[in-house]
Amino acid sequence: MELAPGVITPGWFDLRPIVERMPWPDVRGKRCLDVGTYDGFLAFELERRGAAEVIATDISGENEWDWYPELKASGPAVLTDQMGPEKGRGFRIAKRALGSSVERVEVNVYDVDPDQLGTFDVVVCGSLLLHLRDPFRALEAIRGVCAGVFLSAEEINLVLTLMYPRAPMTRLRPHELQWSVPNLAGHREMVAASGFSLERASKPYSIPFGVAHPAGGRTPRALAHRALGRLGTGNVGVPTAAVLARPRL
Amino acid sequence: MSTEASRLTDAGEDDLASLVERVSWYHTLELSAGIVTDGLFDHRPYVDRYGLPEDLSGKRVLDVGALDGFWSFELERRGAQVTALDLDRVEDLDWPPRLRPAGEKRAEGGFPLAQGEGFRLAHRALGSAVERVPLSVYDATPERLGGTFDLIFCGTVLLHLRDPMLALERLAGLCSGQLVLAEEYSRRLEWVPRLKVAEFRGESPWMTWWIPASRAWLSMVRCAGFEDVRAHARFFVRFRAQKGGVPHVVVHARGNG
Repeated sequence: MELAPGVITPGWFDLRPIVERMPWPDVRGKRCLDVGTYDGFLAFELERRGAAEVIATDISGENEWDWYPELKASGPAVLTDQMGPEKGRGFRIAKRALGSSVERVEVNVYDVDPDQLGTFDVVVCGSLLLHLRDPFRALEAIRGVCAGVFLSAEEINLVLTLMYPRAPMTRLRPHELQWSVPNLAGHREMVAASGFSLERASKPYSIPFGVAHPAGGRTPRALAHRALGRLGTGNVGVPTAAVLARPRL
Repeated sequence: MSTEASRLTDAGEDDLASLVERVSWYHTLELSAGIVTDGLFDHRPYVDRYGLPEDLSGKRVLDVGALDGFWSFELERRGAQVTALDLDRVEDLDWPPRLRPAGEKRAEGGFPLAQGEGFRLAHRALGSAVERVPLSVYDATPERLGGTFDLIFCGTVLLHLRDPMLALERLAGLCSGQLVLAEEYSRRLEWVPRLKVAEFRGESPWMTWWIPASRAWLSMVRCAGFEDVRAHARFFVRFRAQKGGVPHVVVHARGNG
């Protein structure tokens, strides 16, 4: 994020080049929610686009995240070791630097509740579902607070997208903090199955890696992966698909 | 025949037949000579493929998602002390939201699902001692079930769950011996090399979510904390009275709960 002219946070991911490719609805004057906000990029973007109010949710405590069972069993010290310093600090620094009015609320996506947070005209959720053991539970919770539209932007698996362009599939790779990554059709079906009707979809794009992201390897497989990323989305990064949907039920 | 009939508390042979008639059966069960339920599936020809120990005397066994009880009663026949886990209300099952209104209607419709009616009738007819506990697998812990189990049997349940990994974690906590897991696998994806993959079948009226390839099932069981995870067998279970069936993989593993 650019917090001031020339002052750019050294992040793992740089959403700036792709933010216009997301299927944004008109958020002017709207009440908006960014779920799983982390450092806040999408929350601040909603504010920049004219939202009347933005709430950003996340959980700082690593021991509440959906860790791979073996890691969870090894205890909180190991988890903190894996994840580094306190989460939420980045958001606070950015908020102050940008003079933002976005309000950060500590709540697990599974527990997002209209009685506590109210409902929102626009809900945004980016790159969260793959970190959840129970993504459908999260999508149902999101539907419960969505009175307008839902923008879901999630990592997709390009190989499975090419192999199965229309059938909804997912790749399971449970390790650390990741569970499964769907193909393009899979992401859409997950949103639809959770009680949404899809209004608009972006073409897949890749979220470029930021300066802090570890460099990729040079094994044949890594190189092939990057080539596929370039072919499928135009650049190297995290292949992502975004849809704009409306609660149907 | 009269021995079986006398096991029923207050009904004779004719009454049993008419009670059986009124239930929508998932399992094909022989309740007495000549009275066999017309289940959606008949597992009797396949029992030997699951690799269950012949003698389970003195063992505490859990049957997850027992439904009409075919496996509970089979495990009991082998000498086990069986706890059958299932839910009583169709509405409590993991319906994909898109299907939920239809699902609730099916509570009256007659889709053969976990309501316990079939189980209770069969339990009475067979004079069984199996203990049925109405409890979600998500809440199944040693504290709620009186300890851990020497063997856990789970037959085609996980594909109907929204959070199969949580279910497997719970089973890992309950299993001090062997896990026998039988699940439908995706034949379409079975050939995919290296990757562990699953196909989404959330539109199916059978209340399914993801159908993994068998390698992905093994990975999920390992992820939950089981050891010595291996595919014991793969076979096709036909519907009893209609065309088609379900490809099954049976996974064996060891728990250290």
